[in-house]
Amino acid sequence: MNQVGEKKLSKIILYVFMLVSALLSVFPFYWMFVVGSNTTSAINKFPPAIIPGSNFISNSMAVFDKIPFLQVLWNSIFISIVVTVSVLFFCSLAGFAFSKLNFKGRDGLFIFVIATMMIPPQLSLIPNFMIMTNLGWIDDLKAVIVPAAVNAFGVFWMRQYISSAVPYELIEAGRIDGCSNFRIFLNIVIPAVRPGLATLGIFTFMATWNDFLWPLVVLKDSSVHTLQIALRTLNDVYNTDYSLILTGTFLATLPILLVFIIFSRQFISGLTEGAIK
Amino acid sequence: MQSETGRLTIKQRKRFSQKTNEYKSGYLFISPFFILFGVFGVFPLVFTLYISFHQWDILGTTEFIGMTNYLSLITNDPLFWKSVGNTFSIWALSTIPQLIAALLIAFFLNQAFLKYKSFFRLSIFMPNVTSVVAVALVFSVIFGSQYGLVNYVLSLIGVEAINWSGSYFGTHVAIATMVMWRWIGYNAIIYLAGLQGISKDLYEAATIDGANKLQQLWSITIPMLRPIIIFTVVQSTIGGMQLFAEPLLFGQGSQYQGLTMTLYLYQEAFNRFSFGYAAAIAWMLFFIIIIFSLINLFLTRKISSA
Amino acid sequence: MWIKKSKWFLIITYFLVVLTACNNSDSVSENEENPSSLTLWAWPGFGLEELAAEYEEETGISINIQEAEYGDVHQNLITALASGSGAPDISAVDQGYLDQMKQNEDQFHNLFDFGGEELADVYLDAKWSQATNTEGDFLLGVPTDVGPMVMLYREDIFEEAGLPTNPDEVAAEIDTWEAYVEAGKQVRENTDAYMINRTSDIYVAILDQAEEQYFTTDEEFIGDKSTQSLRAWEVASHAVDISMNVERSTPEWGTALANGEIATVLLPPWMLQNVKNAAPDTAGKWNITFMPEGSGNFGGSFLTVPKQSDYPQAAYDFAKWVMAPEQQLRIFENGGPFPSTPSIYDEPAIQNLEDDFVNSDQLGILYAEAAEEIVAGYKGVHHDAVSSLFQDALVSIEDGSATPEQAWDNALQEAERQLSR
Repeated sequence: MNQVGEKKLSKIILYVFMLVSALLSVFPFYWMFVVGSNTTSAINKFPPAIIPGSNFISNSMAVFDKIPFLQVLWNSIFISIVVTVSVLFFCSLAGFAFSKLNFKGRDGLFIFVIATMMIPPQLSLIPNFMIMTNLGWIDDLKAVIVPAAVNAFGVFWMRQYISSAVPYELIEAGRIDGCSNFRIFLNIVIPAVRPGLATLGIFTFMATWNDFLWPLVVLKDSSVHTLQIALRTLNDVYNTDYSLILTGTFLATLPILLVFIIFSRQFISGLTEGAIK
Repeated sequence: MQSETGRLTIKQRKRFSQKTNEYKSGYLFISPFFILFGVFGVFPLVFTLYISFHQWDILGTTEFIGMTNYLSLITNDPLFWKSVGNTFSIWALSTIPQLIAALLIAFFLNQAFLKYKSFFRLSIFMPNVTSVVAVALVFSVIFGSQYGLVNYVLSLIGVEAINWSGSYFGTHVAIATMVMWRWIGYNAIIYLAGLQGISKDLYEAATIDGANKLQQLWSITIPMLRPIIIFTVVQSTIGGMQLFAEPLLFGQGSQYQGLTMTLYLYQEAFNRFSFGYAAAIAWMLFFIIIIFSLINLFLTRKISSA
Repeated sequence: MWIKKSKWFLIITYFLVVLTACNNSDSVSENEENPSSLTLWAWPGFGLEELAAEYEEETGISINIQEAEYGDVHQNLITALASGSGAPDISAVDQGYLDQMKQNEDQFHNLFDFGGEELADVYLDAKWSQATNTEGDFLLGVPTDVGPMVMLYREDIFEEAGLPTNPDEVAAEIDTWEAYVEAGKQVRENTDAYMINRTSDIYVAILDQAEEQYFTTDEEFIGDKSTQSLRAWEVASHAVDISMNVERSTPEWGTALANGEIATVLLPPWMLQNVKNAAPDTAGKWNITFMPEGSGNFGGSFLTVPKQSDYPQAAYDFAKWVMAPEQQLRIFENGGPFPSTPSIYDEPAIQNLEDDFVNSDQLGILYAEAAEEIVAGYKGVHHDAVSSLFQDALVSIEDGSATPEQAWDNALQEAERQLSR
């Protein structure tokens, strides 16, 4: 009896904790919509405005008017999808090799991969720009896609995930069946690491979608602008209109949420507690 | 109907070809990364190293000055050392609570009885997709010195207002809060993915043995998650050392108490145009991150294998 | 077996080839005297689109305007110049980056080579001297707009404080910076408002009113002894009591304006729109007059022609045309920034400029007069870096983390260290 009560209480605490975390997490996103549907002065109210206004449609129209939304949306979608597919494939492949295959210099090479993550990205701007002008890739989407086709973060993550989620026995079983290493990867490892792939997919898509530091250096023509670069041009120094900027960013965020919902289906519904009770 | 010896030789041959197979496949599988790094990664490194020994004002002349940049960075640049201190202070304030909170949230999200999982999952991920412009605005409202929400709440309980943008304590706490807010959900998703990879049988066996939730967390979850925990520690160490967006958005403050190493690097390169000096900062930063990551890795291994 | 394994390796190669192959067709080069198009980098707000279309109709040269955010344009230009390729035919450069570019004039075409001499009397003197080098033999860019500084003030707060409210009387009473600080004290004593958002804004305004600021024309640092540098510090560091300590153009600044807690804003014409956005409900409570001791300039840019351009003559011709007085007037009429060509200051569009937000029918006249009063101060390469050190030092006084003496010493020490590097 007492134990049941305790359990109930801990469940309530858990729900309250999760609910508070959820509210704190969502609020700024919600507030983006609040300001986007009001005028800029809504930001300045104290206490701040928390109820959406009626200007969202007109602000959206103004955004569509200022930037070629469909064009830049397509560029962003194209870049993000190609990069995500490529990263998922190459990074999981390399992660598999680093985690389950034995070859000379493996650990040293792996540490090298991690070390490359430590190079501050701001400093590569100029040398990388030189490479791109030599390749003639300025104002070309591949200047953004190709360097991002596989990254250290993804290799590191997939290596760790495969180490944690795929036991050696599975690999051995595949070998006994006479599978090649690539078959093992495709038929045994990939199905076993779907949550890991989903996570990498979400993060890669999001990072590519939101990146602007490098794209704005190589993509200057408005025909190749991504959504993030175009959004930055909403920030007019002569006329800072936050409601417009936040409407634009709100619209730009919706595709990532869609991608998150699709990918996170790969997370199964958790442990079946009490299955044996 | 094979003979005993025949079987053995096949096994041996298999083992041998298996070994060469693993060599070939191994190198082949990791080659895309190294090819790409060879094309786009090596040149910037060499270039940066080269110009760190030069005085290069980006647009004008390049002059070889040997170790001068490094020497003046180490011996005569209080701002650089201040930025190192700030970076570590903000890292310490944000990373440890961030990872613990993320682990807890992931553990809760993985409980079977929890309803509305996909709602909670989406919610905690939201900070990471919320645009930095919105984040900056919201946090400037929360941590405003004049009209800030936190100061308002403090005034209700009779605590004196804190000058968030004008003091070391205020700025570090505000930036660390921003970092935590943005990255807890991210790390929780990573841990959640890791938890999904742990076989349910282990938990079932433990439940049969009468282990409670806390014991399960300690004796199954944490050891099984070790590679993932190492990943997040390394990742957040590197991320914390390269902290750029949050201090840029919050402002570095009049005593440069919000100036981080990468922010300083960027300012030297693109505001003060001293690219050679910025390159030297980048290499110092690189070494600091390597040393610090090794220390962290060592500690994490110790703790999670204890 | 090896071939079998290589199957997927082919996939990678295919992947890369497809990517490399896609849209490689638009690299048709042209080497004629007259280009069919010119590339121009600018940030939003220049209002050039309509004029560019017209120019194409007249000359057949299309102007490809590539917009990026203000800071991004400069970062991109620096990157392109540093790496030796990728720069446009024409790039806007803000005055804040101008001296740095001037120091590296071999990255740019000298517009005197293409007929720049003819522009000498078209623009404000201050603007012209910014566009040319110290010796006056190199023209870096064609001037665009200008940002003459004036003082926006709240009539109701001034009245409550016992100060005059009529613009002429205000200008007469607050004719020096000392008088400004005194008036500020009156505002603090009699109302709930502050005089200004931050002392560093006063500092910058004063500093910009003299020819000699931090550096002599041969780049000697005189920030520790030049009259204006000392005076700006003296006034600003004693204005802490009248300042709210809030950064301009932040949400807190907006809240303070909306709440009526800031009595004056020192601003160029373009910033009025930002005040309006932040505090629309305060419309009709403001008036505008001259700043103490003259004017100053905040903002305004130049159209430069990087050396990398293959068509410098055509680039110069467009820049000259689009920033000619008639065109600047049209840009202004379409809501663009304030023109830098005094010959059109008598036009009705400027003389009769009105704004419901401000109770003044002299708005345009005031801007025009302020524009002609701008002093062409010598800045030098490191001006902005040094200036931001002193501004930060003032904020540290307001934050209570340094005494005025400590703050001055810190700033000076750091300035000298950075300059000696």
